Amino acid sequence: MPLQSTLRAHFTPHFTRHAPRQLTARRQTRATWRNLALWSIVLSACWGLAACSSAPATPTVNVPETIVLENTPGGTCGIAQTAGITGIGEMDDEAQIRALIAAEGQFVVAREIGPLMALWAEDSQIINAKNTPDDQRDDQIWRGTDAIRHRYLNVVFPSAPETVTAVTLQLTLEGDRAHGQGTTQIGGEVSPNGDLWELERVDDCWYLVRLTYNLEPLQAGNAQDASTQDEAQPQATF
Amino acid sequence: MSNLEQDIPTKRVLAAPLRSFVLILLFVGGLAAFFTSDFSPFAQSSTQLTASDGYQYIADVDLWHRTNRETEVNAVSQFDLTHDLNDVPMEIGDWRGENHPETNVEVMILLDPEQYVQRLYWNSQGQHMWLTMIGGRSSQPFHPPDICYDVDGWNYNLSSVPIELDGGGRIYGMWMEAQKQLPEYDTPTDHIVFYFYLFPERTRQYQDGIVLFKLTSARYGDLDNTLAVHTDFLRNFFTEAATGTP
Repeated sequence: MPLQSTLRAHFTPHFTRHAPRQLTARRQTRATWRNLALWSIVLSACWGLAACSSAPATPTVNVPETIVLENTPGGTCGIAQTAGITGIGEMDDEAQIRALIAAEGQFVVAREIGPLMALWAEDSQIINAKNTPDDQRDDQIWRGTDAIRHRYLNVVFPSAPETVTAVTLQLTLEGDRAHGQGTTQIGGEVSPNGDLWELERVDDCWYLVRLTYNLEPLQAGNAQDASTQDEAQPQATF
Repeated sequence: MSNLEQDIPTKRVLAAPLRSFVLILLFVGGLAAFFTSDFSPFAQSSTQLTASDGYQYIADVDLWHRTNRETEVNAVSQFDLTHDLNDVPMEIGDWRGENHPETNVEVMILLDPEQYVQRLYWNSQGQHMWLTMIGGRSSQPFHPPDICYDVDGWNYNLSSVPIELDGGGRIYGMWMEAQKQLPEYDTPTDHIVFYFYLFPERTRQYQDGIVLFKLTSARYGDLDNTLAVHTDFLRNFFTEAATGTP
């Protein structure tokens, strides 16, 4: 049944059923205004529906939508839903933090940017220590969630590993802050004690606030390899 | 006559004004919803820009994914591929520009852009600003500028900054502080880059054409001062952004 007929069928009996048999002129005027009011509402609704149906379709080919998780709790409070980790509420702080770091690896492997970004606090950072932990002048920093998202999408995902595993992680908790240094195996690559995770608890949820990686000092052989690699890089300037 | 029968007219008398009140309330509510909705031809939401303000585009910090930085902006010039990007003003505000066409053939072969405009602007204080506009209808011409700096051995930090526009609202762009010790200089060279992408439609389809808007300058004092120079330059081209965005 067309929408207009459906609406008419719905509203018209209501008026006839309750209309008195003899209307005064005043009552007739009132009834007319009442009809006008209801039809205005009906027409407004029809206008809205028509506009909705003719709205441009959400692009699916060119622009993958960032998954919006505004209504989903972030950090450890969200991974029960996003990473399928059950019983997170019953875990102690250390277990929650380990689950959060494991979820980061899980989302990198799956290239799921929405749930991945929900693990990070707004003012978080990722730092590449470039294997010189005692020299911060050469550190490369991605500040804020825009830069972190950019790094995942443009640097990490194009060569995302098939596995990410925290081999060791020594955690230290200090109130609402925590940090843990450890070894992560990314695909076949192992960085001994090369990752430092820093976390913060906000509203009972733990969030990642900083990751410093490549903290393991380069061995002499590796340094030579890196140097050779640098020289071989093309001198692109665009 | 029973009490029940006596009550009926009284109830009717009371019910009639109540019904009218409810109907009037619904009527007013319906009208209000209609006239304030986005579908209404009379809608004039404060978050929307009007055509009389200039040329409207969608700006975002990322090409591939729609981010919460996406906003509608008003531009004084046309930054889309149905127009020649060379028509973007060469003289604007305190800035005077000159074309510096890309001479690296490899760049043009690799990117194969539909339009590629590279300019060097100067202001009255002797500060310079490179403006690069790359337009295309496929992914090939576009890659994040930091990737090139990384490959070329620059050390850089990346973040995003908002630039407040004179007419209200702000444009977010990616902000890169790059540094490299070039052999011909005694001190490291700094490049400060601010860039974002412009789309003619909110649907962001490649076939509609996309433009990378990139500014590159030296470091003028500290980073805050450098951002002020970028801000001054950008405000000449973009006047207003939709409010209500982050």
